Amino acid sequence: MGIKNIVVSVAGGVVSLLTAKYAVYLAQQLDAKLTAVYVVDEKALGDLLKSKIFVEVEAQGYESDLEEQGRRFLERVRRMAEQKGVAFEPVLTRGVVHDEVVETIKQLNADMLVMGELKEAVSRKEIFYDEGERIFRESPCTVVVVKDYEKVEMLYGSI
Amino acid sequence: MKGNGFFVNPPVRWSWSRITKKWKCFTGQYKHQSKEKSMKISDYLKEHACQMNLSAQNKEEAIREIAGSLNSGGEINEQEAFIRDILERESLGSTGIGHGVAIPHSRTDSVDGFLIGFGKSSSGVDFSALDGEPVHLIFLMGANPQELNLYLRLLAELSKLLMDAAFRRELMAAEKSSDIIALFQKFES
Repeated sequence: MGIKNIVVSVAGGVVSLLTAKYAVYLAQQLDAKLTAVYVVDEKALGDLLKSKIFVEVEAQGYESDLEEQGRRFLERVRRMAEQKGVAFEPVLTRGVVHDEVVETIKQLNADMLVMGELKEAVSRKEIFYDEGERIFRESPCTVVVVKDYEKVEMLYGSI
Repeated sequence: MKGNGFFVNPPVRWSWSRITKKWKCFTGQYKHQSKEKSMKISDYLKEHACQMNLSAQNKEEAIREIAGSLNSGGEINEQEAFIRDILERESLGSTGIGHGVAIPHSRTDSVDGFLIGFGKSSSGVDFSALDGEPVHLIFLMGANPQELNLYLRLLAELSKLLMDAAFRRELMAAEKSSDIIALFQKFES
């Protein structure tokens, strides 16, 4: 029993990096395995193709760039986890972001999901469709939403 | 010396805001943003980047005119490289998506984060649009390759807003730059 399997949802960027640091800290403290999941947002690319803003070759270019960005980011998190002695597994997948994150949690039977702070929403409609909000709502396990990034740096630095 | 690129390998052209940010990182004064970046166009579109009466007659002139107004705000690190990247994307296929709207865009190293400019042409610009009609509303967007996710979401947000005929009508009727921003704030809320 206990929390032995933690998933962190990352999308690249500073907030994701800090979220990953908090997840590494938690995993180390709880002696849990950490899985970081990065999803190539195929829905956003598909929508831009449909609305004719993207041409096919352009969408393909973005898709491979996103995949490469995800690979590099996961590698960075792997190094962070290794430095702190945390067992780590990267998951790079593609599709609808919230679907893929929730599916990963189910497949791994994760005990906890760590995710970055939700963006400020201005309408109920926006809340309903936001990928972060949907991950938060649809996750079958406990969700930790990371805030106070200065404290995160301190915690991460303390281990 | 990792993380101290300011002194080790300074790029040729940096905007003042970028130098300030790097300096703050170096001296430890820079604080992380506490929230995810905004997904609202109105948070990125600035009054100085709205050209309410484009004089451009063709696609390249229109792109140059809007890029010029963005550059006047110091948001582009290298204007010619930015325009080249935008035109290179246009060469793949027109971003004139119909209904008098064009969204020329590109990921480019010429900007640090994400930027957007707007231009309105009463007479219309030939953009080789999908519907063959002249373009009156032009949104010029650029993003650093490091900001791909943000860029894609903002592009999607803009395209969704522009599908609304009422929004397009109000953009056409707007007279001042501040009206354009106010319209985004209204339709994004």
